[in-house]
Amino acid sequence: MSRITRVEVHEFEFDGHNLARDGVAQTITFRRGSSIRLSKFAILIQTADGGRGEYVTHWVATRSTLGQMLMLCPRIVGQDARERIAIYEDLKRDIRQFDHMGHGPIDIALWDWAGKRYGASVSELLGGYRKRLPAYASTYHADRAGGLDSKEAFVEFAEHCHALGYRAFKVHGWNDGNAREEAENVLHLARHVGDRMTLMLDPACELRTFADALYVGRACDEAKYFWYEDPYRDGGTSAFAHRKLRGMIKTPLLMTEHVRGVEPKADFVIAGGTDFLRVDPEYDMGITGSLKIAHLAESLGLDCEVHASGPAHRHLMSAMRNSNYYEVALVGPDCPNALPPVYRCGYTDQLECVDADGTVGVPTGPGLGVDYDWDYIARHRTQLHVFE
Amino acid sequence: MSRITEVSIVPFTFEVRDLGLGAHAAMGVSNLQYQKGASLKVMRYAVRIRTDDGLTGEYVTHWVGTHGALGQSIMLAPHLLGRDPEQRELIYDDFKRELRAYDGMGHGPLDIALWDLVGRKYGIAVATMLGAYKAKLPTYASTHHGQDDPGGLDSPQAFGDYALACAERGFHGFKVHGWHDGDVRRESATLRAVRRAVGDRIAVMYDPGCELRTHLDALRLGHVCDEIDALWYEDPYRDSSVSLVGSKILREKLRTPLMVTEHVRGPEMKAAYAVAGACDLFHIDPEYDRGITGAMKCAHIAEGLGIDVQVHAPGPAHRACVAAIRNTHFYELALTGPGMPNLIPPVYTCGYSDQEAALGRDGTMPVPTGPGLGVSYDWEFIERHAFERKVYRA
Repeated sequence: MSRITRVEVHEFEFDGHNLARDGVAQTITFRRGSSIRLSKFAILIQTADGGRGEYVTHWVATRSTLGQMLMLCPRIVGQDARERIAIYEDLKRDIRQFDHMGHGPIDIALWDWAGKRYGASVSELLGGYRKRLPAYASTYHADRAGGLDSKEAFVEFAEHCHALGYRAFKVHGWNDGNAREEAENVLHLARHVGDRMTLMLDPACELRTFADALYVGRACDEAKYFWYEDPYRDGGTSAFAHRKLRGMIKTPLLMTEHVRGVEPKADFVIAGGTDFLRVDPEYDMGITGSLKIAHLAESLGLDCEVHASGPAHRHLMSAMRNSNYYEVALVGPDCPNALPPVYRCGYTDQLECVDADGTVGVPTGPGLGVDYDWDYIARHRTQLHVFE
Repeated sequence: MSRITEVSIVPFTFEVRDLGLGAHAAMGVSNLQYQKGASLKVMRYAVRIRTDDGLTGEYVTHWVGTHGALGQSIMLAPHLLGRDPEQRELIYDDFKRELRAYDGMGHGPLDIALWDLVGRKYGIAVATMLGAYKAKLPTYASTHHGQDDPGGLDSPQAFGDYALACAERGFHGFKVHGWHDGDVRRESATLRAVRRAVGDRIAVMYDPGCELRTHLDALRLGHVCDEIDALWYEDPYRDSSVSLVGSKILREKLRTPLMVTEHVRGPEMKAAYAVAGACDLFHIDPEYDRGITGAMKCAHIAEGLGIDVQVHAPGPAHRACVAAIRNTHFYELALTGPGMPNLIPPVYTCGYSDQEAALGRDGTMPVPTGPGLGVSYDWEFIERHAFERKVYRA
């Protein structure tokens, strides 16, 4: 038994330059000269036998997720850190009415704990074998402020990504959801780089109606996009509507980023609502929850695309045969990926993280294989929560 | 047009007597129990929205008031500034999109406060805004979970005794929330003890709260529901009631109507359940399902599909909804138990109550009739017990 004796959650903040908020949740876009405060949090799990599991959140870091972590952390004190499945079951049941976003960081830290205990990377614990992961540049939402503010700007940035090594590129369009503007951007980009880069489109539910989703989907067909993701304001949750959309366009749909947990994802795909499954170890109840989803996709003969970037994401993908691209999210001209600068080991998900072949590596040290700068976290800390 | 100029989110705590946490320190219903003389600290939060023309809308959370929902309300609140409070559909659409990867639990309290505000603007009750026609709502007793420590609902017999007391008190139905270990024999014995105690006087329902560990255990308890003629069988097992396929397979083998979707957020995903034949009734909740705006969409989908809904949990917004929905049965007084108070914040200065003592002799609860939600809140109490204040101003 490795009893969990202490859990710490550190909230901390840092600045992101040339960025501005558009909306209230995670929607961030380019604005030159603007700077925003970004909040992330770190979790540290300690066991009576001296073990340590660590994780610093990437895109899942929101007030909502933090709130759920404060609800869940007291629940794991006293539990055996080795029994991730028992913990998964209890946490899942405890906040069954909720979206489970606070569960992922806890589970990932437990995998880090296990890897450190056994002297193996998480990838090795998973039986991983893929050493290099083909990556795509996943853009910030389009803006009207000098970043990705026109179809020409998208071409220019795609060319830049191509020069860095990227062979795949995903557009997040304008938050206005103007179907004509989106379709024009889709076609224009394909005309300029479509012969050299695999292209994807993610309106992130900004198109307002089904008809707009169909219109832009037809542009994706014409421009031979690799996938079309979460098109419109159903919020990416209507299997019925997307089965209908799939029957009307050729481009494969990538849905289920907003559908939490293995069971609802199974239901969505069985109802004919998607071509690919989406998984994120931060969003989908950790690496434990994500593996279930990857295997669900495998059992149905489908591919499963890992959402967003981070060390846990890389370890997970290294053990998935049925996954195409690693998402370097989010990137744009002259602005950083809004991820915490806490890696002392050189780990990075910034735009330049790919090699000349457009791939990223998988960390090799014990656990997540990254070395967090706890001094930086302490210096930038705004609040510490301790559960014993 | 009114314009929103200020939004306050105020989390606060209060003490509830004779309840404690059993197995672990995490605050949830999975460990609440009767504990004589104990005092339990409970957190909820209040929402207040103000406009440039002097209007105010308020809501104090009931069961949704957790840190998770609070975090979302704080994410969304600044986004209300400058908006017209009457455009609830646009706000619904934008907030749904903003929190598209999340459950939207923090949206409900804001939406409900907007309904309150608009009701006050025109001097009519939210129930009236919805076209409601019921003044009194037949109510069922929804129990606390079974417990192993002595007291409260600590045995099948204790459930039976309490069910009889509830039938005599006038309740129209009695819903068992069983034990957390999901033991098939004890759960079965409890259902049989309850039916024996009440005979055919009132409806009996069963909600294991997803504590049965396997699909087959869910099937076995489903057969007991058939045997005791339960009115519905709710959220049985550890798929946490989010597996449509699992529910469908289960439902095909049972006579008792299956009520799921309390844990399935949003009208689109609830619709998928019914269309696939995976449930008989929807569970909807104005706090959980993106407000009165979202809950009424769910009620209307059910109506369109010819099925019934049940509104989950009690509260003034819940009463307004039940009063306006034809295809529903009871108001849920959750949670009740012998000598066990409900965890409702003591913030009503108008006499409004969701404690057992408030039940009329005919087993109904009244629908508030004043403007907006028709309740008045004790802001002095809220402010005195607040541990944080988030105020956003335009």
